Amino acid sequence: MAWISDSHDGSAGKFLDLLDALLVAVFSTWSVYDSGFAANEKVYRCYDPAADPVIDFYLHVQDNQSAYVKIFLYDSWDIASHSYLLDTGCKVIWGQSAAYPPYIAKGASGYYFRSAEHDFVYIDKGEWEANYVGSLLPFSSSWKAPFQMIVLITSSTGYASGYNPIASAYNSAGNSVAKALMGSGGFGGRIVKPFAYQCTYLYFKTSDGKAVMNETRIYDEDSKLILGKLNGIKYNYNAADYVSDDFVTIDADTWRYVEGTYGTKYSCFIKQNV
Amino acid sequence: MACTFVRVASAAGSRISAIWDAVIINNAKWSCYDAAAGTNAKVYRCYDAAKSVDFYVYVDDNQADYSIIQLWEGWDAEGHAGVGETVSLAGTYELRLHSVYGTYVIVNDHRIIFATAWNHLQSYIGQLKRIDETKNMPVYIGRLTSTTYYNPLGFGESGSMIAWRALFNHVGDVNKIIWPFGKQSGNLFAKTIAGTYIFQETDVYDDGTKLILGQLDGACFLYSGDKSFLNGEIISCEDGDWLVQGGSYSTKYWAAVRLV
Repeated sequence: MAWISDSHDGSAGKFLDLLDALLVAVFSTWSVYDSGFAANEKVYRCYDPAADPVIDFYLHVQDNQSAYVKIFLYDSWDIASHSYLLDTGCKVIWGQSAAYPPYIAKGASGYYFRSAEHDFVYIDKGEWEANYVGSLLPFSSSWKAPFQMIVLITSSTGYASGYNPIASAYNSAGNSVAKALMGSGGFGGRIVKPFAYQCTYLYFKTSDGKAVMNETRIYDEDSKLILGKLNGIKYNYNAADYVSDDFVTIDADTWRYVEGTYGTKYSCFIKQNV
Repeated sequence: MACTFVRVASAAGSRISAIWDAVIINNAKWSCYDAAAGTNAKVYRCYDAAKSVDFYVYVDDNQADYSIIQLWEGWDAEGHAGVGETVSLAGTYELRLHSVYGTYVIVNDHRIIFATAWNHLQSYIGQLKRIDETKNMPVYIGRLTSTTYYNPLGFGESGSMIAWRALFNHVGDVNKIIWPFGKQSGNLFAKTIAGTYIFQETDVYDDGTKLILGQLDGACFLYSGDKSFLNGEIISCEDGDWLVQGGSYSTKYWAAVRLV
């Protein structure tokens, strides 16, 4: 559980270096599962048999280009063939259509990276785009989903647009991808949305100059059932009362404000110390 | 806190006798301040100096199914008249709080929730869970003069139908419109994949400044949309039982209130 502010030059391989250093080297739950590719491409596994429910998912990361990384989510992986082991449909390889795979902008303007045992958040400071990869939190301390709830909320081919993925959470052409590995009923690749999706009245500033920070619930677009909560994320949609990189301290927690540079200022808060 | 299920006759004076005098003033922070405010009319005070709570509710109960309500900053019990600022009207419409037949009355030190089986209406009088507890900001969330029965707690301020009003906002402005977080969103879902429900007390903001004043105390705004609820359904959650209602209008406007 760490919050890092740093930069790289945005070239090929830099995102893999970051995952190796900030996830694999730090957490026993994260590992490199398949490195048998030509260059700048790896599969990471997040596996936690002690979690309830068990966490087990695979990220295929293609980082052989500058400015962005491609990232795909699967429920299994075959090291021998370097491909998806058994296609159950439980995968996230595109958003609105096959033309729009999940991308994460990784420009040279710096980044924030928040690491955790079962998820990570990458914020590109050039476009102020926040991406969420990994597990949702349970609905409450005693009520949980019957199986792991893994989501990918990222940008896509429009990664340079400044369309903040977490704050828009919309499978809209190249702007963002928001899907679950498995949704309700165990169906794969389900569209997910945040509570109060696209509501234009999500004000968050309080009369004492602070803000309300409720971790945003995520629901399955088909069934409308809540799958869990984003870990330390507050979705604001287009409520935009701060400037990117502002922060609010509530009790001992720092929440970083991220507002995409796109014309409509889609914003969210990221809790730094999860 | 207390939740009482009350049977209210459809007659003038029945809300004063069955709800206000028989239930609400059992809470030490609520009292009858003026018992002679008129025929079938009384004034009740909610007072808690330690929490900066002090407001008066004028109840004109000369109708069969509802009371005309006024919120007042002060009250002259000798002259039987309001003193200071008031929410007596929302725009040009008087405040009509309906409660008749079976009604849940949920009272705590600073607010009352009414949830009536008749047309499935939920109303709220009193304080929010305030962000700033030094500010006295009582609210009225209830019906007005329209005969279309939208559920007040599930809908929001609207013309002659429903008022969401604060007597004062955080800077002392009077009779201000307030709104729930997620206003007019059809995407406020509460059911989980585990078959359980999550009802979260809803943030309420001042429509002028857009600043959150507090949360609905024991109430969750859910608006319309496919929620899989039935009117009058009671759902057990980790924090108690919640009553879900959506009004009797063809489009249901849902809210949940905690029955404790």
